[in-house]
Amino acid sequence: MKNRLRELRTAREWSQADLAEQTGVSRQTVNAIETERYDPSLPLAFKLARLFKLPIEEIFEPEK
Amino acid sequence: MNKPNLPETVQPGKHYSFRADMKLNIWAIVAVLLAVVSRIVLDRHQDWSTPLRAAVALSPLLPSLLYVRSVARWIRGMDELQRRIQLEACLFAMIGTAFITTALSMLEGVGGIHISRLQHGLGWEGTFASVMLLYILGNLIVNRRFK
Repeated sequence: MKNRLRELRTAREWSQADLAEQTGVSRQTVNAIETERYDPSLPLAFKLARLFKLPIEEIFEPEK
Repeated sequence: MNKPNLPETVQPGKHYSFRADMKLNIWAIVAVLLAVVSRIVLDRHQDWSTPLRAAVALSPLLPSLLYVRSVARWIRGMDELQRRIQLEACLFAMIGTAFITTALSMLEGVGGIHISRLQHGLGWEGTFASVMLLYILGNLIVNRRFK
């Protein structure tokens, strides 16, 4: 699944560790999501959406 | 936000934490020590009654169960990606060990291969070593996928 997580994170000048701490996951998880090697669970996707104050579909986009 | 359990806190390296390591592994250490002690005791007291010998022989099982409980709790405290990595590595270790055990018993059935130490399966030491080695290998393989 494609996502804009890196773009959104860097726009806020957060490190991966900062984002990991705010969402209660490891830095490796944040990195794996950003590099699109791992698709987050629905609860984590909602947590990220709430954090960035955006609807989920503006962060994640299924591959066509 | 609660910090998730991280595997690097129980592995050698700069993030290693003795406290986290002991919280996870103390029951495994107790189980191994009890297994060694029970073997020595059973060798020295062959005159003991069968129920007593059985109780001594099975004594490492209780700390082993407690170890399984601490591993389950540790995995439950991880974040979703780490949990997935650890569960896949555990599955790899379990299936691998079952595969090795089955292969050994098949080879024994053929009769061509005769390894005296393995005539009755891997034993607890062999099973433990196989699970641990395959778990480490599985961890490396699964981790590479998400690096």
